[in-house]
Amino acid sequence: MIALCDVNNFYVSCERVFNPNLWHRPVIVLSNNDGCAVARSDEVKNMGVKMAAPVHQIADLVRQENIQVLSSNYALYGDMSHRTVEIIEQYSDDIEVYSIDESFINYKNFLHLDLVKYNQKLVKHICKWLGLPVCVGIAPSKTLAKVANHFAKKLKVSGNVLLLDNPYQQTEALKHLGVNDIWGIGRALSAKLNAMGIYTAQQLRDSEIKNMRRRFGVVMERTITELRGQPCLAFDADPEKKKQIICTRSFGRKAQEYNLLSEALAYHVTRACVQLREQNSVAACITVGIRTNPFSVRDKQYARSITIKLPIANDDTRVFLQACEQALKRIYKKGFYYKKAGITLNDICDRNCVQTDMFVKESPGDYKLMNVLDAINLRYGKGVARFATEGFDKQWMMHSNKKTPDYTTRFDSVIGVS
Amino acid sequence: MIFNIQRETLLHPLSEIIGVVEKKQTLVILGNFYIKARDNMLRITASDSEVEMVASCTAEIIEEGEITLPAKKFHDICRALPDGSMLNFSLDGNKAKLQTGKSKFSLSSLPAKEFPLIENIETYDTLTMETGNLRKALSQTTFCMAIQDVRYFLNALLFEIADDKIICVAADGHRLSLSETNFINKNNINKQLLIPRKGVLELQKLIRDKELTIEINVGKNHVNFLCDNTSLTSKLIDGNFPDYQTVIPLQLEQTMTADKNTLKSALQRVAILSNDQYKGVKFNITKNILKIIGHNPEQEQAEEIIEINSDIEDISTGFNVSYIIDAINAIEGDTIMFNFKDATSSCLIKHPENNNCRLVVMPIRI
Repeated sequence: MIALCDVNNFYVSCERVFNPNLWHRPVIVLSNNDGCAVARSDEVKNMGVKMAAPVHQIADLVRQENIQVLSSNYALYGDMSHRTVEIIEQYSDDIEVYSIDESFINYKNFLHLDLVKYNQKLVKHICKWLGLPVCVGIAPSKTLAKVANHFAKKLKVSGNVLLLDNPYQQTEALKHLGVNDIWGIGRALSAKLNAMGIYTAQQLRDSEIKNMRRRFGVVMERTITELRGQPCLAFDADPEKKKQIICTRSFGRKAQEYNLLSEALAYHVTRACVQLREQNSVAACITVGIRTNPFSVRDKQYARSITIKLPIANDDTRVFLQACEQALKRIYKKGFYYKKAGITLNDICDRNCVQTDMFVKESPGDYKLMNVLDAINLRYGKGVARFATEGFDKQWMMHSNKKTPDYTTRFDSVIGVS
Repeated sequence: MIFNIQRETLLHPLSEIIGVVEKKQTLVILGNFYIKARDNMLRITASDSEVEMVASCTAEIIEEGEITLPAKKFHDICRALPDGSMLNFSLDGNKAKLQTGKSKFSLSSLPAKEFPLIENIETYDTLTMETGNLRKALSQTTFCMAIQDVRYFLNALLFEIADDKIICVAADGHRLSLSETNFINKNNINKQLLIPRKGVLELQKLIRDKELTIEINVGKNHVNFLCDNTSLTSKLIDGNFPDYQTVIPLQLEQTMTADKNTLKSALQRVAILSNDQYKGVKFNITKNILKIIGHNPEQEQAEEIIEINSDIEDISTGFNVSYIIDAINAIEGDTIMFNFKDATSSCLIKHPENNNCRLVVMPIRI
């Protein structure tokens, strides 16, 4: 049996933990740069606000309904996610952290237990320790566990846990689930299925599997097999290292100046290199891209990216900063209003398996310097020791005017009780 | 401009030079062939502004002239026409008309004057060599040329004429290959030419199955190869190739000699379970035994033990298995010799007695 433990309206719930005034009030959390609604409380969902709705389109509704609008606070969400996983780990040592708010739990060795009661205890535990509302769906496959979780939330089942372990219950659930709500079936695919007369998950489950594979490929065959209760998606308790690290952000304002772009890119390079070292990898390729705002019809448009291959795979921030600067010089054009800049590290491999180069002299001290830099920033806070090329005032930084404090990750933001 | 030509007579030169035309060109006209009809000869030119190839063939010229035509389309049409077709070519305004039997084609054209031809390369030196010798030198080295490396001088082949030898060297940083060919240097030429990758690959195609003499004309910024009515002119890279002599170890004491076929088959088997991305395999050499180990992220492992002749006490290093297989393929003979300094330094691979082809492969830190 596989369970999916999912925090309800995760970002909104995290905010409510530290600001109880937000309970029973409509709340939305905005994406980076305060652009779109990426998390909605149930109250907002009931008002018909769609996921990723642009904030300017719902401005009137926000005013009328007194919706509390917050900027995203990823430091808080990341930390709360980490704490949630730590609690789940007390219940099973075989878990797959699927996303910031979802974890699959493998209960294959727990069949002697009453899984509903066991998971109700987990739900209470998370609620008591963290103040986060979670729902758990349990079923024989990952896709069905997703379905069970969907109905656990939707039907507000007792104890927030729903077990779909017998064929009758599964059929009943799938009968009432649209194909577009199945895990792995996107909008385009569900339109194609609708055109074939397949509207519900039950219809998809009972379709001719070989025929579906011929039309849509092996992924569809797996989904149908999973809906039939036969697990075929591997349980990945030890997720592979990232094969690509992307750091890209929109600017808070339009930027024309070379220096501003250079600083923003340097900031992204620094963050990407920290991630690279955290997973003990090295990268041999960096892609640098800049672009204007395609939605701004009045501005001249320009977008360009360039990839630079390093002679030897590396994890040294300085090497990537140099390559990034070299790339920006080649793609930057004066006279445009830039809106976004970003970098991607590619060709990532294990640090312990690096192809050496006959024309590049390596200095073993380089690794040590980066390790010291990471250690300082881990101990004294992010960005305490940083490269001057990142700049100091970060004029390009995104808007996050309504961001709440980093309650759990900065000493000066810890809530005081008097 | 009007001419008649047999399909096969036209297709051969077109196929020889079509490789030069880039799929995405900087200038639109570089997607075209430049065709000049004069003195009962067709001269067809393809260019990417760095490499230019000119092929000629006889044709019945009724009206002389010059024009440029979309290269790929023109080549595809000629290929698709039935054998033995007689093609009638004529110009109607800026449209080129091609007619044979019941087939008619109307192709757009661009003015010949706009085609950027490499006019005169100011030849300083001329030499000739057998295509067989050049083919061997290229096949032993070109696979080591870098691809789109920031060190632009590595995306090339070093063609060195020194004393009585022609030395070809290619390196991508991970490996280097050198091939020496004896040559009668009548004019005492001493030169280093850095020929860009694309020019080298086209040259390799040009002499693929020809047993002829090739004429090499060296200019200040260009090199021209002339072989069997086809001319290939390439710009030379203005840069310095690293001093390859310093990279090739001279005398290394730790050597191992192995049977080429036995080693190659063992490596091919181990490669199956090596990491897809960097193909790393371990070489553990103790006395007369070489143990090759490969493993992948799925924790699968392959191990092969082969007998070798060696004076190595104990050395353990790692290599990209494809590089070693390429080296084995490049070196002639039945046996192959590896020379080591230590586990972290480069390895020299060559025939035990013959020094004409030498490869240097850098290790992987495993």
